[in-house]
Amino acid sequence: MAASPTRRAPELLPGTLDLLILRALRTGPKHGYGIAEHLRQVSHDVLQVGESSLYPALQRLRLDGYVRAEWGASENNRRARFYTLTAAGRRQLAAEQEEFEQMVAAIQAVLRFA
Amino acid sequence: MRWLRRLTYWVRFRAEQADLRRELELHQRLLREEYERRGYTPAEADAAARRTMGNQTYMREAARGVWFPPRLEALLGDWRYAWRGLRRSPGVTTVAVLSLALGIGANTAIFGIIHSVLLARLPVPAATELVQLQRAVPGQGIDERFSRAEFDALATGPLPLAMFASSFASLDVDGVPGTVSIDAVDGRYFTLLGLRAERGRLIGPGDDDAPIAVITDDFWRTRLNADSSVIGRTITIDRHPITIIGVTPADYAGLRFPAITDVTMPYRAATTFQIIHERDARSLGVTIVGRRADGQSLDALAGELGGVWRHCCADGALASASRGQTVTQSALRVADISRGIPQRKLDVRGRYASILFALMAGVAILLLACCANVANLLLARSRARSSELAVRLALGASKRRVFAQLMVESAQLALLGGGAGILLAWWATDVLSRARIGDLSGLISSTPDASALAFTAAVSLACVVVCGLVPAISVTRTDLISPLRQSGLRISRGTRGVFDGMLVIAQVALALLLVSGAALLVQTLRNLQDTTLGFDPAERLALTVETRHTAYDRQGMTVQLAGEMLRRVDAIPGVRSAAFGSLVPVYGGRSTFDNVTVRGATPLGSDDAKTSFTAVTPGYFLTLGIPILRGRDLGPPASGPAPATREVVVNERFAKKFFPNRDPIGQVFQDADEGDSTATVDRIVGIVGDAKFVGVRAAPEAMYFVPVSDGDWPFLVLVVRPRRAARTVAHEIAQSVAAVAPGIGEGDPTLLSASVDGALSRERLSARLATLFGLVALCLVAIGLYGVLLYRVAERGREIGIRMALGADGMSVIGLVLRQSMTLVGIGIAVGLPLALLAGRAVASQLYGVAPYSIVVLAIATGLVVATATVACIVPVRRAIRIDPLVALRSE
Repeated sequence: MAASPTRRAPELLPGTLDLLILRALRTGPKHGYGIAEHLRQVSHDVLQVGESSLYPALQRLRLDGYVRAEWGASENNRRARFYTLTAAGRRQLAAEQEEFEQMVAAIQAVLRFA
Repeated sequence: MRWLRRLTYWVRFRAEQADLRRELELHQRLLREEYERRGYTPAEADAAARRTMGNQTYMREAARGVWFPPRLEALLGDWRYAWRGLRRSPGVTTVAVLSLALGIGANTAIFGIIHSVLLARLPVPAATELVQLQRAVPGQGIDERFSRAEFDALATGPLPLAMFASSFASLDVDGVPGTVSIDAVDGRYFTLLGLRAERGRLIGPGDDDAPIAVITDDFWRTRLNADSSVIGRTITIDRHPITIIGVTPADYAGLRFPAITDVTMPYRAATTFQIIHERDARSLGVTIVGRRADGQSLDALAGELGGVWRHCCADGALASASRGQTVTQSALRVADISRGIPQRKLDVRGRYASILFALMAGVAILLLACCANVANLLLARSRARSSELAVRLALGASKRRVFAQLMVESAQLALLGGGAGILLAWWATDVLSRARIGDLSGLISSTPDASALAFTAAVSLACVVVCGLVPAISVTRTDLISPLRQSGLRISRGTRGVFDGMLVIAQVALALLLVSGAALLVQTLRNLQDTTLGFDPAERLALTVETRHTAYDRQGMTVQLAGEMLRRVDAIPGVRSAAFGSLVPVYGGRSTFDNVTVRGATPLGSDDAKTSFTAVTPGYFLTLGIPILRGRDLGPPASGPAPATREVVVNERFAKKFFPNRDPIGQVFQDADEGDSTATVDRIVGIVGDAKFVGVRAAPEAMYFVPVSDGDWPFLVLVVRPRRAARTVAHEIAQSVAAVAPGIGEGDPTLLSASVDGALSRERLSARLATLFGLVALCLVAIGLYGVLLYRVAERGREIGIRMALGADGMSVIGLVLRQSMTLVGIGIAVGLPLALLAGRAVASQLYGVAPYSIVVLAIATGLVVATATVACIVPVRRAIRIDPLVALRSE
């Protein structure tokens, strides 16, 4: 877990940030920092979501109605805004995940043949 | 649902921003703690956390941006930018907003008067359909009155008709006396008008004989304190208890103009109670109104009714009696009364029409000047910004974006100016409606006229938008290079300079015109106020005592009745003297004329011999303060048969006119009605000073005074000179009169000084409004000149700086600015003076004691304009001499 903060993280595939956030929230409500931390840990520091894109993305998901934001107490009893997946969010996650897997499979197939 | 979430976000906008900020703070703190766990020093951890967070402002903007459609966001950006621009140049903004506010506000308020007096329609549905029947009697002109029999006959014709008759009556509401204006109507009247009761019900076909009344909204509010249980309440009219059954809608006060009706009653009941006097069904007295079909012409209508009317005239039993003669030949006419039935006696429209139309012209001129000012300022500003726009276009902004941004700036100015204008309009209208301007008081609506407001606002705002877009058009059309290059040294000159100069010149000319007009009217008012009246109106009371339409109608205002009243009034402790007269100076009364002939003198033509006379009781001159110059007052009425010669008093002019070289005292003359064979012989016993009887303007004419005891008078005016303050005895006087003959006085006596004031109401209105116009015009000149000079100083800042660097001192810089402004003002005055002379000639008929081409007035007006212009120069001049040559040169 010694990822240097100066190390440059690989670029996220375009359009995947929303999918990753939704996926991170499937295990339960998280605040912004929690989502970033979760993605970093699960991907073994490969995926680093830039803070500058995380929060606009969260607002976008709220506007679309996929997540809901509520203030609550964090693990250290700090007030934090928790994001929860809505029913619409779950459906969207399923749809995007399927779409993404198809695309990845297709890309891999192409890469194997090349 | 997206829109709902968006809306919720906008509503909670501030809270959302706070939420995001706290969220980001927490994030940063957690990052810092994380770094500290990894072994960073606190300072390093803090720096690292900041670095990771990146540009927070950008992030917040991005997060916020999610919630706004991109176009709206651009608009908001433009909005903020424009707002900053307006605040950066508060002078220009204030001046533009003030100009707009004046243009919209003042003009709407003034137009409101014009609308109420000249244009307002009757407050009934489809007022344009309402017509009035009239008859043209050969040799006698138009008569508006018909008899009830004629109405009944005409009502069988094709046109739906209704009728009303009007009168005044005494009123008693729970012991509080007063006078009411009554309309007596037939059962179809309100149905024809299409009115519905605001409370209760209106008079209908079955109500003919019922002692009931419908009151107007105004009467209900002012006399009955808006009593909520008014329906069923009883008031006393001419000592008859009358039950109120309804309240008419607000604004309705009868069909007459000015609308003065308080109470409406069924016609038959009103005649039964003698509130309306009708000798028989053939006597004239009712006004007939009708409703024509949409689009039907008045002539066609008169034609349709012609058959019924000819039958009326031919039938001897029907034909009305007029002046003792049966009217057999008269043509029926139909008149449009959508704006009310004008009251001949008051003729407010006729007396005010010319001044109101002059005002309307003033309004148009001012609106123009306001627009010119705003245009001027905006063009000045836009010119200063042409390089900025060019830079933006050169950097790749789309023309559409530049356009949109300028549009937003104009819209902001328009909103500010429009808002201020509407507020001003509201305030000014309210003030004007409450100002007691003679017989216009009560006529003026207290809320601004919506269409006038819309019109002035539309014109001014269109001007803002158009002028705001001019730079956009010119910049987006031209190449980008020249404006960019122009930031080099420029010694300003060019077409725009000529244009804004012309605007200022036009404004100066207009201001000179309006100010000199105002000065003429103010001087007229002063002259009239200072004019010698020939009598003393201070603390004198007058009360008209009228026997027409009362129980004393047939016997007239007899000597006995008048004598009894005088005895009672004289007995009031606070009364110094009292007298009756058929005519009272300025206050009014009845003018009567006879032809005067002096034996032995060359007979005069009938126009010259026709002389006004007034019937008075002894003490009339003393009471009014008219000096008796020679001889004596009339003696007390002689008992017994009238002597062969009548004692009379004449005024100075009479003496000079008819007895130029003789002592008139003791002289005898004859007076006779035109065509009358028997003449009265009069002997002059006294000469009194000339007094102005007909208004304040007209010079006194030759007149003589005869004893009241000489005949019967349908009405007389009681004049009283109290010992103490007139107000304290006013009611006692009214009571004394009422005690002798109940119901014949018109309420409490009024002050003669109030009549003099009232006679000047039109002049006062003209003077006040013209002054207002003049002030507004001066403000506009100041604003316009200020704007132009400020802009020119800014534009030539560098040039001035260089001049100063080359040794020009403060005086020469001041001279530079002043020369510019005074050139414009000078040309404006040169253009304005002939216009002012023309305007003076146009109002010449309104003037009194001042020549329309008065040099003094023109000098004063010119002085005021120059003074205003000088004041407007102060700020630009100060700005010019404060220019620092170093700063000016460095900004190159």
